[in-house]
Amino acid sequence: MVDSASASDTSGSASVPDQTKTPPSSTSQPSSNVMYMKVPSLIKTVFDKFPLVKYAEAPLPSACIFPAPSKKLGTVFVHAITDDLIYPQSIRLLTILKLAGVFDKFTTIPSSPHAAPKSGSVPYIFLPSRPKVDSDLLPRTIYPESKAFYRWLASIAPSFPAFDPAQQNPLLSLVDVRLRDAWVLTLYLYPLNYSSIFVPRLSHGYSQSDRSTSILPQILAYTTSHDAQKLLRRSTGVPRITETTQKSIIANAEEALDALANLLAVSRTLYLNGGKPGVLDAAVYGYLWPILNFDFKNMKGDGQAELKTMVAERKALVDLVNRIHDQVCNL
Amino acid sequence: MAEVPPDQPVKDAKRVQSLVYEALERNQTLPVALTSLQIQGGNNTRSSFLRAQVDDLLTRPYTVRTLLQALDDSAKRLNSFGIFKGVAYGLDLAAPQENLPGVVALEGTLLLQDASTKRLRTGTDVGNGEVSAYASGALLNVFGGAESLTIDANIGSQRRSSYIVDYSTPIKNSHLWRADISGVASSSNREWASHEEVLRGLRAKAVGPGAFGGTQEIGYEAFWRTVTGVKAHASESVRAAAGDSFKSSVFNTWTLDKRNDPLFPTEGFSIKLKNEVAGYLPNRQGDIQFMKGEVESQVAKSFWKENITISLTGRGGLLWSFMKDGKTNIVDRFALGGANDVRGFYLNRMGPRDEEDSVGGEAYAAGGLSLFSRLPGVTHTSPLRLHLFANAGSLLGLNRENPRETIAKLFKEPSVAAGVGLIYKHPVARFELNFTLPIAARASEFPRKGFQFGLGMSFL
Repeated sequence: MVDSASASDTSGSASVPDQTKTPPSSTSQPSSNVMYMKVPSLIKTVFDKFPLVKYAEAPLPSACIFPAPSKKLGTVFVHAITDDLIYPQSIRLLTILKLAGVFDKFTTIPSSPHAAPKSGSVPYIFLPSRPKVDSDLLPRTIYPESKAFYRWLASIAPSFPAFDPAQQNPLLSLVDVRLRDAWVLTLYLYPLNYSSIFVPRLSHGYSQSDRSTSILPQILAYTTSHDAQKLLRRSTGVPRITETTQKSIIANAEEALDALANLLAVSRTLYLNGGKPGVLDAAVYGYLWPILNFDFKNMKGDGQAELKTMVAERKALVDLVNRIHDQVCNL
Repeated sequence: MAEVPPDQPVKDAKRVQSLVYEALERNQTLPVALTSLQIQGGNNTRSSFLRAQVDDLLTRPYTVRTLLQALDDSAKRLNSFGIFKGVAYGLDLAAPQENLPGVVALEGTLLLQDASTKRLRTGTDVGNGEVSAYASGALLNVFGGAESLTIDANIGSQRRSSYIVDYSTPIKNSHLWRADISGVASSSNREWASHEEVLRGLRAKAVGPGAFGGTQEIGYEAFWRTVTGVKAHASESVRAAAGDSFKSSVFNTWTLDKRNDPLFPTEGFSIKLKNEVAGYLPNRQGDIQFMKGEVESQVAKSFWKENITISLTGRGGLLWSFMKDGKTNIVDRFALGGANDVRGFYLNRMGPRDEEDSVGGEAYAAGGLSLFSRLPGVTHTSPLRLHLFANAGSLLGLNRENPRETIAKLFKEPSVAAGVGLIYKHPVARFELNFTLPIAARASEFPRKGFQFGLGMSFL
């Protein structure tokens, strides 16, 4: 018996001339398939004919029981989910699924970046089998920023506005780079927001019991903050996030907000996508809804954060967020 | 001058020894007192520590017989610390003591030969498709009180890396109780469940004598565990289990081992009980709450001058979650199957399965009956034996509404395998090469028919 936390002995396997059931090649023990000696044919024949009594499958632990895949399209793995989700990427994906009218066909599982084969790639969609779209087999794991996602989404929700990369990618990059940097700066690097918005929500996500004194959220909060600094250094190309860098990040975000507000004004449509909300609207909503609804403070904590003020001042964007919120909540 | 024959010193030594034994025999009940004890050697050891080991020798009344017994016991105690490579007592007549009329006064000398205080080992291991390299360094008797500081590092393909720093010290200079504090950081590949497990944490425990002549460990551990590196083909269960958790638990292990050899017992029995309660300490109690109990027992008996040995082993365990949703973490669940427990199954490939992942269970029972026999033409002391075995086991998810049903199911439909093979008892581990034949298995399990090689310290 090996407790999964404390395996101490080693065991192995030599020749396996006749395996009753071989685990998939990707998980099998490398030495399992090595032939060290040949089993005499008489013994092999006797062993081959020996019947194996098969019982029903062992019941799964409750933690492994999910709604039957046949009733669902798949599973959405998102960052820790609470009533006030603070992860824009996860909000975006859930919003897209809701706007596309397919959200109810998915099981949503709160998770962490560790759940993704590509580390740090939560959220994603995990399907029961590889979907076939236009005679192409797509992967089982579908990341929302991938081409496969848009193809698969179009196949299951044809009425949802199609994503046009040529037209929307430049606008989406405004959100995914400029708004993201300002969000990361304001949430993780402003101490007051970090301690009053991020840490309590992280703790809430990790506290199954009423006693939420686990040291884990504090460890994770620290590592998240560290990762946030790394992301901003990489994004801005500077070795240290100085006051000047911070101002630059906020200024870039303001330009992005202006561009989005102008698009709404010029197009005279309700949504950035046109008459119906699309991927870009969901992306903007993912950032702006929490910015508007959480009590973000500035660096010194003596006033409202610049980012929040900037968003609140752009009425067209506030109206857009409220419109999407009404739709998403009513779905 | 007469020439001394070559064997004269030996004869003299034997004669002296014989005279000493004769004198001791005649004076067994003679009252004696140890009036002083001089310590020679043991320069690496604190005098206060040595005094604590020998002081009681000077305070008690003895006869010759009881004094020799006391000195023998004392030498064994000193040896048990592992910091001396030689321990010997010498006795000499002392000047008669006025306050001890009718008692023979003796002076004692304790001769200590220090063992090396440093140990360094490096090497490579190959087995089970894994290649690993290890380095182990130890500083012994660090502060002169039989303390040890050990650092182990292991890098391999399965257990990707493991680093352990352990500090161990006698509690209050006792040879019976020790305190151990370990820091652990490891990363291992859980291929049977398509992920990697990363552990970092501390474990502190006290080890000493337990009830009914057994030994016990009482301890606390705090571990930050991460289920990560989820493979592309991982199941939903494993993906949902991915992430961090913090376990803060107290544990107790009681062991009664009356076997003549833990690696390959031919006579005796052992019982081991292990309990762990997580998440119920005040403050910093972690985000995992459960109670886990395990029991393990083995009986061995030999017949016909140890030509035949029969060994019967049983194990069982139960994991009960105290989480609000009653769920258990994949890190805490039991795993079963493999050459070291239920043979005839792939390593940890028994029990519940989601897609291709063996996700572990919350209740298990396993038992094994082995018959070891001397090989023809080989002496009964040979480390090589023929091995016939039958083993069975069940690993299930727990029905929390009706745990008795789960427990009944453990015994009602056990997976069974039998086989024949050879075992080799090496001083540090036991090797087994068996041909296994699965007889019964659950649909979710991965039985294996064929040769199975096992290497370890403990087998079913």
